[in-house]
Amino acid sequence: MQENVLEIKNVSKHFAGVKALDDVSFNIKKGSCHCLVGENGAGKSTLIKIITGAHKRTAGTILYNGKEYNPSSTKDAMKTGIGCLFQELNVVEQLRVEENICLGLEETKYGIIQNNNESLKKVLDVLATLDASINPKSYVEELSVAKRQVIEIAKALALDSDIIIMDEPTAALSEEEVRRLFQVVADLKARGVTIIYISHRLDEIFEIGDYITCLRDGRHIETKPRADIHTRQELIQMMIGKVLVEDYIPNKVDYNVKAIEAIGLTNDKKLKNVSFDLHKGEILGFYGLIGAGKTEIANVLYGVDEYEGTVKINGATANIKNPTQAIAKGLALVPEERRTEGLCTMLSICDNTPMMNYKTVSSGGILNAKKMKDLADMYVKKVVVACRDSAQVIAFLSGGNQQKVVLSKCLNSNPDIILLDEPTRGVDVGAKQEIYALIRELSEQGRSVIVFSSELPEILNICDRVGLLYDGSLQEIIQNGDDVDSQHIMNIVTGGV
Amino acid sequence: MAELELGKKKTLGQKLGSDGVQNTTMFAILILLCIITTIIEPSFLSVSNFKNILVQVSSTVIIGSAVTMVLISGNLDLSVGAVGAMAGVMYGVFARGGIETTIAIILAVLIGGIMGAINGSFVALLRLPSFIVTIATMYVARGIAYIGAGGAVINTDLPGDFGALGKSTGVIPLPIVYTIIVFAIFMIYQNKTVIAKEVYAIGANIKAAELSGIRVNRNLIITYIMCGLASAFAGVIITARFAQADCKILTGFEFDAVIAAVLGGTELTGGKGTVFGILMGALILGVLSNLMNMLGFANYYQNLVKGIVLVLAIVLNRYIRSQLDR
Repeated sequence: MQENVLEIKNVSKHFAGVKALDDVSFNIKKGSCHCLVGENGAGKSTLIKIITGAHKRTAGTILYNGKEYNPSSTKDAMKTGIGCLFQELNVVEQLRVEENICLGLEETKYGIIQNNNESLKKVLDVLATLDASINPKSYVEELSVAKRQVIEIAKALALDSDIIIMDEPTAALSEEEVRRLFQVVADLKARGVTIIYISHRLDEIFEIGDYITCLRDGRHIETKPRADIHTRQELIQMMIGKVLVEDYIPNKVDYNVKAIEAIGLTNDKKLKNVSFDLHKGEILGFYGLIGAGKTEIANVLYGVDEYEGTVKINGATANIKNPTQAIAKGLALVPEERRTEGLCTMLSICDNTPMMNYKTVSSGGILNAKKMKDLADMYVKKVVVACRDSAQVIAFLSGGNQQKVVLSKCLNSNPDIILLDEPTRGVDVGAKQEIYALIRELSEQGRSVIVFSSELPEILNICDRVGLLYDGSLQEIIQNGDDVDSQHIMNIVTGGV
Repeated sequence: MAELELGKKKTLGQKLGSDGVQNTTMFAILILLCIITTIIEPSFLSVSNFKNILVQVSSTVIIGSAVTMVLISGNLDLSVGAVGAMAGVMYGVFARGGIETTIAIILAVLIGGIMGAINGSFVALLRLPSFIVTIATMYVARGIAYIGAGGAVINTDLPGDFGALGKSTGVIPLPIVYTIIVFAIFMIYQNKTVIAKEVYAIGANIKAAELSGIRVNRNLIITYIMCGLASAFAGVIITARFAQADCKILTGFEFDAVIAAVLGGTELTGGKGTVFGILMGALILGVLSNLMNMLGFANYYQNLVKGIVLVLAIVLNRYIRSQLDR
């Protein structure tokens, strides 16, 4: 029987009247890959912050290798042996790899940095074993997200970390890079390192998890060996406590009317002669790995990038040169990065909602404050945004709720065609389903939708047809249905024929 | 965290919002300052003294209102003082050249607007940093002012009604009237118009604003034109007040305007702030100066005090926002 590296006993965390964690107890076995699942707001981040020393727990005990564990700070936790790979990687892009590794750990004599740094050598040795292709002298800004992650892992390993926590590590990785990461995880396990793995991607959890702990509303629901969970449904049910229908139901498509006709789209941003049609009421999907050209197609349609080729909207050639014109022609875009492209996060729900179409809250260029409030309240209720009220600042909403505000913003412009780029990235399971329902509703209303996504289950859940992209080319468009061949799809999007 | 908190009673702070609390706090500080000043120096509380203060801060409020909008858009305008001086000098040049006084005023103000359009175009269309662009136009405008005034002052061969615009005798000095009018215009503009709302969005996240269809370039250019017009107007008023065109007026004023805006709660990073705040900022600085003058503080000490006040104001603003913007 493996021994426990971490024992969490009755841990609670209260924040000014909110119980972020309520009497959570479970054990983590040494050398295992222990997955932590649960919706946003379930308490995963809070628990991790307590383990890494960023927060102090309100009650309970944590035993680390049998001894009481009470980190005074994140640095203290790191020294004790807990390393963490955050979603936002802590790297300084303009510095070199080796400088980044040394950050905070420089060896100095009277304030002057020494050159022969023992700890640096150690990390570089570890780095070489994980990924020999990373040159320590290259600048971090030149490296992909995947490689930066490997650097962070090397740092943690070199500090002799017993436990490495990975928080949504695959969000920005390609399939190949995910495979590589899984190999690293296996490698770490072989060295006796324990991994705590947080992810919303159920397929990954099934693949590399040894144990799965599910939190919901701050409480511990269950901890089970992975082998005891047999279906995705079981896992989802653990997470949200109810059963979901994950089957595709065809939408009401009018194949006689073409909302968009795209012919020969080509540009220096990767697209190579992409042609497709979008029919009225259809939900068309574009699936491909990172860099396949999904966002590039969205940017062409929405007037963000230049291109060669033709785009016809409702039969007439549209020369859309910028988003203002796109919106005027009835398009709306939910951008890939909601925080940097979709919302003004320092402003409120009320300020963001009318941004695509102030006509609904103004007349003659003069704003009507009451209409603005009513509009925001209406959408908050309609798409179910969990918030204090519509005056709340966007930055303090969870990812799923922020995404719903972006959707509200688009709906307010009454679009005929909606483009959604990675609509549920970083969004928890419950909110995901709500967003899918909203997307389906759009089609029912006779609007046409394009979903760009790197999550195949999502695409197959809601799309009628799926365009398969590889390296800027549209390789094939398949019809969704019971006989969809996932193997074939994966083959095409990874470059096969 | 998982439940909607609908129907939960809002605190007063939440009802007012961070801007409301910021403005109320600054207003309270202003009143407090007035009370303290009156205690120290009872002659503070006189109509003539108030008139003096208001005339002193008139440039700050007029230019500052427009600068506030530039700051909200996430940019700076360091050319305001120079544009004001340039407009004042051009007013003198035109008036001395025989152009009818009212026309001369209008032309001078329009030139300020053109400067603003140049600023706005470089910032919006070329996406150059506003810091650099407006420093450049600052030098150009100041240069024009010097050339126009021969490096000194135009005070000869000016028409009789040259100073009429700035008439400060009488029940209400005209500069105060203009201040009230311009302030009111900008208050309404900032609070009520769609364009102003869009400017907030641009300052908060220019990319999101663009993707939402907001005409960023148009709005930025409009914001800078308004700033140019306001700066020019302030410069012309000063010129009229002293009945001479001095190329050195408003030197360094760009910082005074920004300081008053920051005191009033406007952030340099964009997306937050109010025009009401500039009034509070300007008045607090005005009363503070008045107090220090009455106490006989030398200039250097006055600067020291202003610096300390500025830092305290920023810290207070940050605190208010962190408590309320949740």
